[in-house]
Amino acid sequence: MAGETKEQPQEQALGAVKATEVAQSMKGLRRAYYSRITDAHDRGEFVAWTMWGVPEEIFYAMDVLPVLVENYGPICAAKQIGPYFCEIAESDGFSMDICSYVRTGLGIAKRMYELGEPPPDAPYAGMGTPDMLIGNAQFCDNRSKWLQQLGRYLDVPYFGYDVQEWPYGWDYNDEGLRQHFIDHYYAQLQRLVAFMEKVTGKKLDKNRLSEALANWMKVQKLFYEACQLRKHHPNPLPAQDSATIAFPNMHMKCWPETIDFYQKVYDELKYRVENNLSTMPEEKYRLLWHLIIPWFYIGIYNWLEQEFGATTISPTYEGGQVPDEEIIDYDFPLESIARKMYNRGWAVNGMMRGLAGGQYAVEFVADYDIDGVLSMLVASCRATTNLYQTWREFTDALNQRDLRIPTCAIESDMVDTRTYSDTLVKERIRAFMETVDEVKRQRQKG
Amino acid sequence: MNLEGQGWLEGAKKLSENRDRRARELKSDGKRIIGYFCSYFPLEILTAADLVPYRIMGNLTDTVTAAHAYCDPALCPFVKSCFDAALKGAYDFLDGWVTPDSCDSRLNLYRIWTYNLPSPYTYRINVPNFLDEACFKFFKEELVLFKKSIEKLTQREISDQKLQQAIDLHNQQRALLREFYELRKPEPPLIYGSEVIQAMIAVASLPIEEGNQLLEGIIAEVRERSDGPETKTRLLVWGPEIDHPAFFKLIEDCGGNVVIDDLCLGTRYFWYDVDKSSDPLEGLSVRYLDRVMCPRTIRGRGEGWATYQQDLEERFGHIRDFAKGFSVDGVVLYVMKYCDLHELDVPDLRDYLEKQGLPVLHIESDYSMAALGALKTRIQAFLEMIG
Repeated sequence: MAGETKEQPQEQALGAVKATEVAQSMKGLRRAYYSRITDAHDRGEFVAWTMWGVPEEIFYAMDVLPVLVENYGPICAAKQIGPYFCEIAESDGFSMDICSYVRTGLGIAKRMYELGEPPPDAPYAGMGTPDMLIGNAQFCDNRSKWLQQLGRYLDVPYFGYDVQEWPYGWDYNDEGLRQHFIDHYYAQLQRLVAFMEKVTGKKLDKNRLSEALANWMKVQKLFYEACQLRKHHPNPLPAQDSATIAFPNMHMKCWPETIDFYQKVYDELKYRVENNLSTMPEEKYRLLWHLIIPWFYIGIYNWLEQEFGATTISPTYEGGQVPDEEIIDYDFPLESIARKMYNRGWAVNGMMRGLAGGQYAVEFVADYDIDGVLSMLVASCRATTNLYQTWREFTDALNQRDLRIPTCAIESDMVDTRTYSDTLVKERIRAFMETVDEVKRQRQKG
Repeated sequence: MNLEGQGWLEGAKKLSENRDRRARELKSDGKRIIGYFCSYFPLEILTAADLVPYRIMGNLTDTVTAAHAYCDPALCPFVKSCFDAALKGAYDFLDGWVTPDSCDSRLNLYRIWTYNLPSPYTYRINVPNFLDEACFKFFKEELVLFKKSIEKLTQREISDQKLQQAIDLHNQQRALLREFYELRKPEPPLIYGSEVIQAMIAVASLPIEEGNQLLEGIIAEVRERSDGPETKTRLLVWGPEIDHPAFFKLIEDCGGNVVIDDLCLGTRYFWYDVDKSSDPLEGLSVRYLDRVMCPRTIRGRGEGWATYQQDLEERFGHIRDFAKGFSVDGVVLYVMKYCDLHELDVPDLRDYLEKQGLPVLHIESDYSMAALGALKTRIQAFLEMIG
């Protein structure tokens, strides 16, 4: 049965109780977004199944509605239907070890193939019917191959393009290397544009691309500044809310209404800061949730608040840093986007695969006054299968500053509840919080 | 090459079981040994610089212990075994090691290894996943950067002439390996699959010239042998790195012969030459980006317009050709646990091969001897089914 697991968190706490009005408004916004996707063809609009990291500006400029297949996994997880679609993919021979976002997407596509339409049990009536599939080689192997595999079920043009990351340990600021990567990104973006022009029959409008880029920068700045407000005590944007309000940033980033949305986010968080509003009577602890979150149980962050008085900050899905204005030239938007791609800081904040490394993490915990760090050991996510190393670098960097911040890894998947044990996870966290408490006391004693 | 009075096949077996022996000898003679991962790595650049490439492998017979403190549970077990071996001193003679960024696990390992077990020299080459013109351009530039790095390491320029000589040597080895594999075409094949993998391990552990000498000796010896395999079910094995004969031996004990492969330490390593080119780096970039038939390279549909069937042909047509050319009765898809690249290809490949009339067995391994034991029943059943 869909979503059935041996142990599940308390049913009433599966979904999260949101603190902010903007997070509470997200349900309607998501529904409207997917409704637009579902009806796109009725309005003569094109739909692309794609993934986060493919420049949103290009979709906006070409009037193509992007559907992030990867990010539909979290929605299915939150609706407790992730394992159902994963099992459908597995029944066709895909391994359980494959990323559960991928399995969810493959399962949905298989059902579409069988039914001839989006599956009725998919949240928000599904992801529409794509006119094109656009993937890239960014972040992980699964993302490189995934949309290629959709060819089993969907007979639509598929296009993939290459994205390379600068290697761990290389000098990110070396101008020669920088140009080497940027030239490559630009060439790939040109290919992408050519593909989309062919599918849509429309030429890219450079002015509209500039407009999209400008919108993108505005959203980035607003979201970044809003997230900075989490440094305040008490935290105005706990993880259960930040995970939710990331949706427009990912799916609708260049839309004018998204600028309004993140202005509202900023305004509300500012209000909460100025009035010291909190989700709990006393904010005793501040936790960093590193990388992926358990989308099927975002209520875990409410549990941390209720059980321990701990607020959680989750930087993974926020906007990240704002690119330097000097690399943005609105007369040459595509080139600017290529330059922007080189600065990974905007894409993934936190401690992703050593791009930031231990030093950055230490600065983060200092800036946000973090008492402890939690993360998931996700067996199906190869890109983040480096948690031990991350902890090592983090601890070494802390030791250099004579600091101690406890860390804890819990075994879970982001979508697939079959690997989650609520009892074990919570017992582990309880033990961890005792350590957090003791270390904090020691720190406060000086 | 001193095989101490043994035959060539026996010599290859001994070399594969004690494969660092020759490298350590060369090291004490003043040679510099550079470890490398993966068939995407352009070995010619190392050879041109008078460095000895030495393939980094795991140790199937040794349980991973030390690496568990550094590597997440869900890291590729092969990669973890390689690092475990390094922690236990198996690669302490290397003057450095290099890798392409061919997969997530190797990317993760690069960070783990460079941080925790520093080497005198390490390098990572970025390898594009796609095959458009811009990717070839980028990859060639990556080779230029790597060549500069090696020149800095050795304090010697690598001329185009030296590079071309290295290409010729490696192409010579590829030709010898293809000739070696021809010995598997007859029925029964003249050589066991387990012997082939032992020879491959030995060759990948020797300097290029010695590897070529070994292959010449083996080919001549095998042609004359009278103690080759019996007629058995002929199999093709597809998958990532198999660097130990145990799995092939298991198949042989169950009544099969592996007569051809699509493996990292098999045909992906050598099947296609570097084309002669006025620009050797151009030739290298084309060969290593386009002609290593690994799932991590997105072929076919990536350009947008191929149909699904065309996509399957681009990705798997060479396997069909292998199966025909080597008269294969069935195919084993041997997938390493946590290898997303191979796991994602399994359903498409399975369907493609079954449409060709080939029975397919899909198995998963965690790169351990214990895992092999559990596979015996499935392999026996598969072979019985083929008949």
